[in-house]
Amino acid sequence: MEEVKNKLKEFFMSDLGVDGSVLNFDTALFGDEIGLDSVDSLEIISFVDDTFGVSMTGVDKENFQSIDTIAAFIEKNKA
Amino acid sequence: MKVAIVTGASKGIGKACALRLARDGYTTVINYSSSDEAALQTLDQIKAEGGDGMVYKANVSVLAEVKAMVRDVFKAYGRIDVLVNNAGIVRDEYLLMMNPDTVDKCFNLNVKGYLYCAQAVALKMFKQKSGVIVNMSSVSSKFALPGQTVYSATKGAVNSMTQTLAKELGGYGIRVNAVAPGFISTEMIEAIPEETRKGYVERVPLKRFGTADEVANLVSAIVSDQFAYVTGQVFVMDGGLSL
Repeated sequence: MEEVKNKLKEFFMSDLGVDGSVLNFDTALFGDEIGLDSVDSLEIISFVDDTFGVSMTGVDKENFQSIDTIAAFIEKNKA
Repeated sequence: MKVAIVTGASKGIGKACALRLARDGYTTVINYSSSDEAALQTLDQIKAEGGDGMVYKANVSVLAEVKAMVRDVFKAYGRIDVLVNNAGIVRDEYLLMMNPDTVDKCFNLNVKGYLYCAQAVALKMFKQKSGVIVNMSSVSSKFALPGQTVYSATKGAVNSMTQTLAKELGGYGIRVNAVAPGFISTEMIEAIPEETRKGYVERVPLKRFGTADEVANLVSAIVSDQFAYVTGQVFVMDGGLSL
């Protein structure tokens, strides 16, 4: 699980330009703090699909709340 | 190789779009839900003209069937460049005769079906950093015709989703536009009594019905690079009916 979370954090920093110093595993991704918007969800879904082979298209918004929730979804759904 | 999916492509405007895109060099997926023979005839025609493609039976108002179609098409060809959301139904009913089943059927196919297909291809197009979606709307979304409350509402929704998707996906090289045809000579129009049809023609400034090929020509132009800077637009093609 930690490896998944670290890969996600690296992606948010390198691909979406999120400041790593304010990005914890439980930080709300789509609030004011980080500044991601819903359009970024396509980037996240694509990364998760390519990296972990898990489809997040059409899943509940709650799963995208934080690195913790995305990692939990990946763990639960990966083959 | 470029790949196009046309939903509802076994007859009418969808068929004309499939044939035209195949002539433009697209490997064309002819989606259909019931007319096996008509879909195969469309594919035969494409192949006779030197094109390529496949038929794919799927009810696009069912998410699982849409997902399976897009997955199988991608597995077969490795990319999806164009989606023409065309599969739809018309059910004319005056407000007080409106049946809830009609409302569900129209919204399921004309709205949910379009959304499901757009969602399913969007990730593939995102990864390619290119793609074009054309949503078949209707002049009914711009020009009120009594009895078409439900149909026009679904097509109004198509116009709105076209604009929103264009904004949402534009940054990733994906264009989304809509075509809103008026009276087009298809089996649906042919089934209308001649006197009624004459009345319709009188209302069209160009004094004739359009053809499915003319709609397909517009779709062909929209998906081409000549329209590379055009997104979020609804192209009315109605011989002036809505003026």
